[in-house]
Amino acid sequence: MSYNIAMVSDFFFPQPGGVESHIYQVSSKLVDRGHKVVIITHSYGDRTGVRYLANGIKVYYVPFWVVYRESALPTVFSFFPILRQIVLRERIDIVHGHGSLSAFCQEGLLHAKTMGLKTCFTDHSLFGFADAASILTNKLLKFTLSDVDHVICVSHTCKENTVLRAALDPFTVSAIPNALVSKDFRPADVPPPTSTITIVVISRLFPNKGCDLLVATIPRICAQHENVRFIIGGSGPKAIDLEQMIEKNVLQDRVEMLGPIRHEDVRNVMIRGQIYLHASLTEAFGTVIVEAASCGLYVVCTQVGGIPEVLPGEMTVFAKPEEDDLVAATSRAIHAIKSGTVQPEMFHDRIRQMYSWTDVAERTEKVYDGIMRLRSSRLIDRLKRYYGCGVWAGKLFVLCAVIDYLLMMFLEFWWPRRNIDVARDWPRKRVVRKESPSQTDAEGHEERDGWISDIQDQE
Amino acid sequence: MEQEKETTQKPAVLSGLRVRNPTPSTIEYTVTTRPERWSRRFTTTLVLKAIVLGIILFFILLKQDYCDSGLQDGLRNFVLNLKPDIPPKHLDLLRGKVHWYYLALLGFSGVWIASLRGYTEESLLVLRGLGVQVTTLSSSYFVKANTRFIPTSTIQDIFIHEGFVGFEVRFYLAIVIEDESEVVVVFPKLLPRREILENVWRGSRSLYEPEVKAQ
Repeated sequence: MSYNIAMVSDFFFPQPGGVESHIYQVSSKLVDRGHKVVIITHSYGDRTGVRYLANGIKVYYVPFWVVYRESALPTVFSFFPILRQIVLRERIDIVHGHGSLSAFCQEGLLHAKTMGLKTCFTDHSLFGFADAASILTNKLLKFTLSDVDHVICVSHTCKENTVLRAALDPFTVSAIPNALVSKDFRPADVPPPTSTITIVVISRLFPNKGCDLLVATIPRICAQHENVRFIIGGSGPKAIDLEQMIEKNVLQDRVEMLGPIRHEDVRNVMIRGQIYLHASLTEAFGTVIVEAASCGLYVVCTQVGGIPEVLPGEMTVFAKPEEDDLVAATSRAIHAIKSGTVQPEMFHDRIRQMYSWTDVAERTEKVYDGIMRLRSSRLIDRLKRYYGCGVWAGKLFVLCAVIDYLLMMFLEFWWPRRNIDVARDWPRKRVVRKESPSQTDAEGHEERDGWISDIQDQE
Repeated sequence: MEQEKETTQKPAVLSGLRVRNPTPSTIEYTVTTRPERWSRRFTTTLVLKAIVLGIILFFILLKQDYCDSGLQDGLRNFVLNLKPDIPPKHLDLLRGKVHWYYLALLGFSGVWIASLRGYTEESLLVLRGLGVQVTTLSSSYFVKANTRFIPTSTIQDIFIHEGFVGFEVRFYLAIVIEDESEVVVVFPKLLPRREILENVWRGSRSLYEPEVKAQ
């Protein structure tokens, strides 16, 4: 069974980032599995219109702001005409939104539901419950998610968070972790000598990434251990604090600040060290620590968010997110490396077996199978669900849903679907799965990477 | 099933396309919204235009002094009989007392309206080995058609792609020309449907592959 899937998100290439690469990798692997994937995002500069990426993934860069200015409608509904056109011409079955802060995704899910399509949502981040911005986002999320068929979270912690924020039934929420392209994160051919221990930190330098913890711990670690050096990569508002710390403690020859690093250079920086230090205060998944372990680094990290689920115990040293414990944990890691009780070079193969995008796509496909079996809900049921969202908000949401429905009626009249051309599909891949019933997990993964796919002639 | 659907829809979809093959090495593709001769729309437009022109002619005749004043008086009496309480000033037009300027303005606008085609017609003429000519007829019979000839030597590619037009996503056929930053869109106003474009695209391939017999 193959589906036509539309990934809707504000975040996509050319902008770099975790959500962006997640969407691309999952889409690419879903195409390998014989599905059709189109990605809908807003235009970036002069990157407007319809483009194709490798593997026949079609990307619609919607010129959203132009549409917005032309239309007098509030932005809740202005995306509907274009989305309907794309959905009809691509014969979409499933609309899959990414990222809870993406207005495109929220709108897309609402309209897709109005059109009677199946919807799925992937949450990539953790949120608080206390500050004003979070409360607003959570309310909005409750609106769109109260009617989404299935929600995917990147970790179990993220799942708990989302279930609480959007008041969902936990049975409709799955946790599917991120993955990495393991062949891009191979360990160094010659491991760096252990006479000097090099600790690598690569992160955006923001307060929530624990930069204040770094500022406090780095001088203490440098004081305790003679031959320890630091490499810090990344940029952000906290870079200035780190520079001040370096100057105050005269650590110029021991702490190196690299500034912003492109994603393809991350591996080259990683393999210069033996230990990766991750001091983040909140994290939904933490792809970077998987990348670090894959590069053969011993990982020291704070025990927050989804991080404890990410790596097996022998690859990590956990610390509480506080100064003393982080220093102690780092010291333990340094001793372990010096005494040779851990073999970080071995991590790569384990990671390769644990994380692969093919696996993520397979699990996502199972979610799709599940939601395609569901019956699509009637309008009155949807309205009931929206009404239950809150005293005032409920009524507002019902109003929005009703207007959305009327808007759909109008669009059916104004641009009837018989006048919308159906786009030609990119030649689909025929997926032939090699039978491998009695093999171990590791070999199973090898087999899965070796899909035989050939192009089906459609003409 | 899908194939069946396409074949059954085909005649309806291709109705807007006319293909002419004047010589063995030329093909002309015309996409038009021109109504069939003596169809309902055709007759309606014709009648409406005739009415507009007739009314204007009538007023000009009224204004003319040589037109016997008996006609003017007769008309006035006719209107007064119908509606006796009408102010006499409103009957100025009938009595030929309006200024020539207004009449001229009315006349020109009437002739302009009558000269409007009421349809759009765009065509692509493929001359094998020479090039292509794209034509868009103007909206009025008085204005020249917008025509451009593109020699084969400057054509880099001809392709079908999709783009956003207002609130819609439409297919278009475009020609890439050497040393030009913008492509030339064929049928830019009508943006016909995909089946038509694919048909035209196959025909225009004969530019590159003269031995391919265009359909």
